[in-house]
Amino acid sequence: MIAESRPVAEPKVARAREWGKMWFRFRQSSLSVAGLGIVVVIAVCAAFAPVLAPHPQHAGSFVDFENSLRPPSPKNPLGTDDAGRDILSRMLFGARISVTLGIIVLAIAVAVGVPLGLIAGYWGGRLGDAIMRVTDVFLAVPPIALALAVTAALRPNLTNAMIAIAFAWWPWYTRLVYGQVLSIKEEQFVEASRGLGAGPLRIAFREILPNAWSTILIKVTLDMGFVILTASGLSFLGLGAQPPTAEWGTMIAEGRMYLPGYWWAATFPGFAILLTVLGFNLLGDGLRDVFDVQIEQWQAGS
Amino acid sequence: MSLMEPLLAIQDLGIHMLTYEGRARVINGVRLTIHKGETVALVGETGCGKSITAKAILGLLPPNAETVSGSIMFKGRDLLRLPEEDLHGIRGSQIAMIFQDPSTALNPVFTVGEQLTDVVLWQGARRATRGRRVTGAVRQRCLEILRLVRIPDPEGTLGRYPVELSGGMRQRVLIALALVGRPELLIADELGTALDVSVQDQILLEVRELVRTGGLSVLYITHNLGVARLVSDRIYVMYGGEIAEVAPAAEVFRRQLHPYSQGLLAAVPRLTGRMGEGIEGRIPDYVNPPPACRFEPRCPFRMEICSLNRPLLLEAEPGRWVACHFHGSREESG
Amino acid sequence: MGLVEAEAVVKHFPITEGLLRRRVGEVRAVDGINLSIKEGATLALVGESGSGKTTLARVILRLLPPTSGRVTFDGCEITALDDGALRPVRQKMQIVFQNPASSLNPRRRVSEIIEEPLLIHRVGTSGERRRRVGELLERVELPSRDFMFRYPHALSGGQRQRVAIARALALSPRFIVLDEPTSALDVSVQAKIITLLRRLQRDMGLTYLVISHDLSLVRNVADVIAVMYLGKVVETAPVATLFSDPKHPYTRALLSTIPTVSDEESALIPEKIALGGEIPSPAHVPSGCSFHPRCYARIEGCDRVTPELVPVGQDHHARCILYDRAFGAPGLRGSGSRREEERPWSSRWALRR
Repeated sequence: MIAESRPVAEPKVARAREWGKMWFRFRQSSLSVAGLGIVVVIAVCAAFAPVLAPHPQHAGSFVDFENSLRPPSPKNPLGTDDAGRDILSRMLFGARISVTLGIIVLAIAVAVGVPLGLIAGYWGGRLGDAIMRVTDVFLAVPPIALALAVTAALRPNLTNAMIAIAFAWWPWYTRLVYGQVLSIKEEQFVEASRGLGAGPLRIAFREILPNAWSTILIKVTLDMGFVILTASGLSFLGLGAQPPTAEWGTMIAEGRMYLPGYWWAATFPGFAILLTVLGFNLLGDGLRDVFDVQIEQWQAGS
Repeated sequence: MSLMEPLLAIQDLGIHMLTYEGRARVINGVRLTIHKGETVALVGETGCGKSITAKAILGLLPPNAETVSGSIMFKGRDLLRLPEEDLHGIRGSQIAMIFQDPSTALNPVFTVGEQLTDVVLWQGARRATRGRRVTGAVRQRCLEILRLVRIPDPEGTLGRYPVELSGGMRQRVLIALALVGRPELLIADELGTALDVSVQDQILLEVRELVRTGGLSVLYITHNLGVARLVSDRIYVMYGGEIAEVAPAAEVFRRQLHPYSQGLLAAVPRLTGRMGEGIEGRIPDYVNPPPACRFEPRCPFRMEICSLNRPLLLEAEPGRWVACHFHGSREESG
Repeated sequence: MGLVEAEAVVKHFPITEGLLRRRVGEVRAVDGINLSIKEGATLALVGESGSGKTTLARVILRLLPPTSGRVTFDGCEITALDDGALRPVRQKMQIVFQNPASSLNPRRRVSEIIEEPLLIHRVGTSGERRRRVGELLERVELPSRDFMFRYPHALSGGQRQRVAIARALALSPRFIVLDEPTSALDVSVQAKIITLLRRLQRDMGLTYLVISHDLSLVRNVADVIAVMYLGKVVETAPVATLFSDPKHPYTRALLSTIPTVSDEESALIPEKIALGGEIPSPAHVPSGCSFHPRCYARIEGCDRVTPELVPVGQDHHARCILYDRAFGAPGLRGSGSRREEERPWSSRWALRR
């Protein structure tokens, strides 16, 4: 009891300790840290695009044919596109669109998918079966194809692309949460709570859901990259953001015509997508390391 | 004790683990010997380092572990300094391990026969130059080993999947898997403690019989003192990453020298209706362990010297070793 | 009349097959059990896995509805109550599970875990509840200041079990089911938890139902023991009687396999009886006496007739054909000496050896 006698454990101190421990686990893998670095850079780019961009006015329908398709130079670090706009500036604004879009799509997917999964998993029965069969139907179609179909049916613009992707994405969360709930439901602490007289709502939201959050968070992180990729794909096909919006997919579509001579116009936005997907994936894996260990028994040295 | 060179001799083993809290000194100067044909039990409570010691013997330490001192001599070779490929050859064929949980240690997608055959063939491949590999012979070997561990209907069992077997049968298959390579040292981690008492009893008696007839040496890792008493010749009591006491099994249950062993035995519920109060306090913090004797903060007999000098594992009586100043000083005065 | 009574409790789980959930059989987890636990006493249910002891405890707590039979708590039949009417009863009956690592929600702090029952039953204001949590922590010998805000994974096994006990005590129950309360703990910790549980029982007048496979432990905590095999009680007796004079062949075999740590104890248990095989699945209960395929004292008829639980001594009952007068066993009345009672099966056993 010697080590226990120090008067710590006010909630703040305890919480700081938890975070410290999690950060320690995260730090064990340099790839996770790299992922976090990339994500932070992207987030900063998105947040401060107007400040960071050398030519913020180039984000929209600016035209300067004098300077079109210039190679990278001190004035335009990543060159210019066919309308003479600075690619770096447009990419920074593109980050803003992509990140916002990713957040909104995943927020919708979580808001729709998680409650459905919880209902299907916890209450089950006919309603649960119905939810899961509908989900299965959605899952049977590749998300990009589904999104394509929806955007084609609506008018192609950024908002509709967002709706389309969210429409294709929620079933994955229903499925994930459903599986999680089925296994957490069997945990003893759930039975303990039932034994104490807790009602189903309380068990579902206070006992089960908090234990599913870490898995959901990992999936959100991993999905962020893929949602951005899908959105860019739609834009590339002309079904998402429309020119002259500075969106990575649109930029690739525009720059593609000038390959390979004016390679920078399509390559750098492509890189941005690649880096984003990679960054979120590495971060997601890192979070998985952190949370998986947390749930396990705390072992040696405690 | 025999004058022969021991089969396994661990000297001054020190292992540190790098954790969030810092460098945890989880194994601190552990000494352990196993002679041929001997059954030794390493007894201790959760977190005392007994499983880490077993993993060190097999070279299966987790990546954040660091061996800082000592040697593990097995038949004249230091396992700590062997290249991984040599170690790979020793694991399974000369040193085998029976894992704790029979329900998870078998691969559910292969039949018992396939898993056994794999091990036989893998070991055969090492000696394949002599060209003794005949399918019939492999099958014979599998059946022979299943009969040895008393599996009824060995022919039928070969074709079954682990889920089709009961807990006791799975445990027997695990033992068969460990024995099929004819190892010289068997490490049994909490053997049988996941099973019901009546089945556990059967398994332990069977392993004891195998040891007696096969000249096998066994290291039992267990927290169950009753099991240790039933199966072993000598007992090592481990506390806080150190060996507290070594003694022949029959003697240590009659009289314990180390205060920790005393406390531990007193805590065991007895059929006589007696049950101690347990030991005050908890296992040491391995990052900042007590400076000298690691049991000192919990010890009812602590003296001044206990927080100053680390007690060494010394022979207090013939065949009985204890790491405690209480015995050291008594010997001097007496 | 005991605080808790079970009368002819049966719990069968259907085995279904295929899409249409056709019923193809049933698992007879609990197969007609009568029990009575006196207020302030401890009854231990002993048996191997698959014996139905855990299911029985769950039925008694109404965590599972019984297939048939009655459970009464303090004279009130709880098997007939609906969820709403059950709530006040639930406050008085609690359970402490085997593995505190899984019975505590890993995402909640110690204070929230202990407060939960108070919140569920809307007891007190938040200040009162907070005080109560502190009080409960003191009661289980954890200084509240240090432990209040920790998560379960930052506690040792013994500390976690103390938290689980504090949670069970929160609503001042009268009856607590202890489901293998120490089997996940080390012996030195087990001893401390048992000491605590005993003191709580004495101070608060608690009634315990202990589920365990550890006979040495049960010897030290129980007043009465019921040995279960495949959903049935095969023998029940006060603890001292059961250990000194076991009647049922299964009880004998079970006692003989206890790993002991002293010669003194080894002398107390019967000579080693190695039981063949393992407990069959409760989905395929053998005919007649369900223990007969493994029984070393088996006689003609064991595979056909199902023996009843019959008295074999003071408060001592066994379910074995050898003691059942209906099948020609010598009755107790008038038989007098113990030697005579033992004769039927001990001679059989001698023959088989």
